[in-house]
Amino acid sequence: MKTVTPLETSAFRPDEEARLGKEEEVRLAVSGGPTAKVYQRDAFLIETVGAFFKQAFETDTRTTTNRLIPDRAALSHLQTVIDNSTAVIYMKDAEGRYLLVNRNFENTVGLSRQQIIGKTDYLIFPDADARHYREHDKRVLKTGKPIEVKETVAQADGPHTYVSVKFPLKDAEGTVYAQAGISTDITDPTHFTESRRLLAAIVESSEDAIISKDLNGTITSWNTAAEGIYGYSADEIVGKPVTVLIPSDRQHEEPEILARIRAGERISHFETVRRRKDGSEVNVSLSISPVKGEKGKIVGASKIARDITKRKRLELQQQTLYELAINLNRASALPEIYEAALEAICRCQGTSRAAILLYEPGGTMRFKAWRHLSEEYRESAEKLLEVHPAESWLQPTCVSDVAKAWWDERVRTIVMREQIRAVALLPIIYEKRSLGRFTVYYDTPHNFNDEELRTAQTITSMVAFAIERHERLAELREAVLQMEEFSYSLSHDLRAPIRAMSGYAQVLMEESAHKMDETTKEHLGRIVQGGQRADRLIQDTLTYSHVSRREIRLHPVSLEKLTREIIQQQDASVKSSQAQVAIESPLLPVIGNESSLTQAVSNLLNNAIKFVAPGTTPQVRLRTELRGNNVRLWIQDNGIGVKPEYQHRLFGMFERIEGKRDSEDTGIGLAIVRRAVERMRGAVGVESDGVNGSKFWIELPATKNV
Amino acid sequence: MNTAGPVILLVEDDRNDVFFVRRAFQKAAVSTVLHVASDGQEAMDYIAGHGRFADRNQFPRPSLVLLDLKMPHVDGFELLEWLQSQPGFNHLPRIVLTSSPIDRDRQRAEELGATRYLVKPPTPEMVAELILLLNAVPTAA
Repeated sequence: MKTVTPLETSAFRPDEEARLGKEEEVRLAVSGGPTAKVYQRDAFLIETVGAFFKQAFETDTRTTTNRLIPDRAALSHLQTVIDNSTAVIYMKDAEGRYLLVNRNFENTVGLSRQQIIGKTDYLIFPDADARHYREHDKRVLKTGKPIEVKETVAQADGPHTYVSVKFPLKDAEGTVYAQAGISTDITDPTHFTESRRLLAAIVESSEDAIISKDLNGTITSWNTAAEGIYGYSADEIVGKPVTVLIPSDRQHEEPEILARIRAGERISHFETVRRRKDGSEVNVSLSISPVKGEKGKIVGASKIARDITKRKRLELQQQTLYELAINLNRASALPEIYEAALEAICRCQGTSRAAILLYEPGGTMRFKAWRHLSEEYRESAEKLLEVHPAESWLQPTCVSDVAKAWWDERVRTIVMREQIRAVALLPIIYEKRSLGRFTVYYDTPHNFNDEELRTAQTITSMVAFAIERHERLAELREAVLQMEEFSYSLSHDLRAPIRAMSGYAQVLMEESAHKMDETTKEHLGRIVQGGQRADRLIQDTLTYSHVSRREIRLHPVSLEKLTREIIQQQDASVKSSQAQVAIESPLLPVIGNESSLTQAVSNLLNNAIKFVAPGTTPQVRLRTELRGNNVRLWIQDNGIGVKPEYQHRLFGMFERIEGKRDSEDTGIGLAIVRRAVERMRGAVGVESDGVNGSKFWIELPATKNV
Repeated sequence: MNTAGPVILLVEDDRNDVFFVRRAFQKAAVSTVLHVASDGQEAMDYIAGHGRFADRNQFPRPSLVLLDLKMPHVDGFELLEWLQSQPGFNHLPRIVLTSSPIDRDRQRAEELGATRYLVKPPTPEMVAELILLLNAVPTAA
């Protein structure tokens, strides 16, 4: 058991070897009795520190608060002593705030004592570690007894293990007012050599380039992967500025990176372009972290560079295919399809030259679109294809070097004169039929890999589909046009004889009725009705098909104006039926098509006037209401109504309002209304109990400034 | 001015329709003189007073043209177009009477200057409307 007086300690110098002494039972002078098993050297220190603490505290016996108010002189002595220890020494108050630390503590955590004093472990160490230390501290505070624990501290060169003796500081009454600790690094020094070797092995075997540089941007280390990515060996590059790796247009990046590193910032996944030894460019993703020296000062940076060329290429391919799909979809003419395809293939294959050739009727292939091919070449190539028609192969053919290909010399000459050194011929196939071919040219020999061929074939099949679809669509349009012409002529020519038939029957009825008996007159009446009905059917069918197919543009329409015009036009029928038509002004404007809307509203208005019980004066009310973003036009009548069970059939083709059959009503009128409204992206419906009239409605988008 | 009433030129290739138009006029009990041209070309000749229509006493200048659209040789649209290009006939009402109920034809006819667009069969009501129209338009004769 040693006891040390304060005077003796001022001369104390720690053992140079910093070896750990034997274990020894130590009585902690300051705590007045308790003992702990500590290392010899620490025991000495504990005695010393304890004595100082005790003295420092006792000089302040006047305070009643039991807080430590250190004696400056004593403290200064103490600081000198503990600063010269290789152990980590510290003192914290009951709340865990640092009151005192020694130099080795500062070195270990990389902070100055001014930065440490008054702070808790949470502000100095990672949370998990701080929590751990604090638990130990609490045990000491609670039990009032010293403890010996192992604690791990993450340091710049890896984790260090410490044996810490933590002990309470008590006042005269035995109350714990603070605690102190002495931690001895027991980490095996060989551990670091080992871990350094391991680290070096990891760095060397990494597929990512791992480079370090100092704060001037000079390269200080260089792994094997770095050599693979950049082409420089470590011998060539170490000591050179990192800027040799940076393309001239990106030189500004380095000062920015260094500034951020100096500020202690970490840069993650910075995607950029770097220059290889051979001058070619490589896409890299950089992660750069500051490297701290022994004293926690930033001395340089470690840089991990990943070659993302392949990923970038895949991204480009994906983006190109995506854009191609959109462009092909938008294309309304074949040249647009060709242009989109050439753009896509050139981007994916990293070339500027390509062509599309298609078979013409008669079986010869012709250039339909191309990039960077001379007229002379195209002519010669087409002539060759005429003489030697390309067999309609269905597999792609690649020639990686035209100069070495097994080709007819005449062909080779033509191709080489055009400065083409490599070529890929990709058949454009639709349903096992070759439509032509897609050709990609390179100015230098080119090795084709599976991946790029797959992409090229994908593009080719997309193009095949687009070309075929375009042609089928054109055929379809032509057929529809012919069909329209046909049905137009047919209905036109069909109407004439039917009109003649019912017209002449009408004449007979009117002029020769006196010569006929009742049955004959009735039969004649049926001919008139039948003819009129057939005529209306043809007219309505024609209107229906026209409403369904014609192109319409949607724009704001004034319902007020449109409705009044319709009523004016139908003046004759309104008057003859003595109908009362009331408009609740103003009718709100809608987004629609004037002509389609006229068709729909006039049909509904006609129905409203027409379908009334005999002897009833038709009364029609028109009004609009705003429903969300839509305007609903109501056309309410006092007619015969539609029973709810028939309402769902009402707007179908050839459906008629129950019980009412006259030559005027073909059952197409409401189908026309529905088609017209649907074409305007609206809706139509009816409300009726089947007795008290009907309320038909049309709903269309409101204009924005309602 | 012909004392029998306003002169109407009916341009119609279908004889039945000519009959029904005449009849509608008769039934409307209006006094008009109806001249018939069986296609667009004949109508042009009549209106311009060319060839066999040179004699304006026999073939007086019409106050209204009632025309079909679908006709052989020169059709109704072409006739409307020609009428638009003739400086002397700005005020001549030109009424389409056609089999086609479809909007496209109506629009095209209106664009080409048709005063009215009527769908066959002709009725006495239509005739009454035409007569109203005739009275509203300043006579060019």
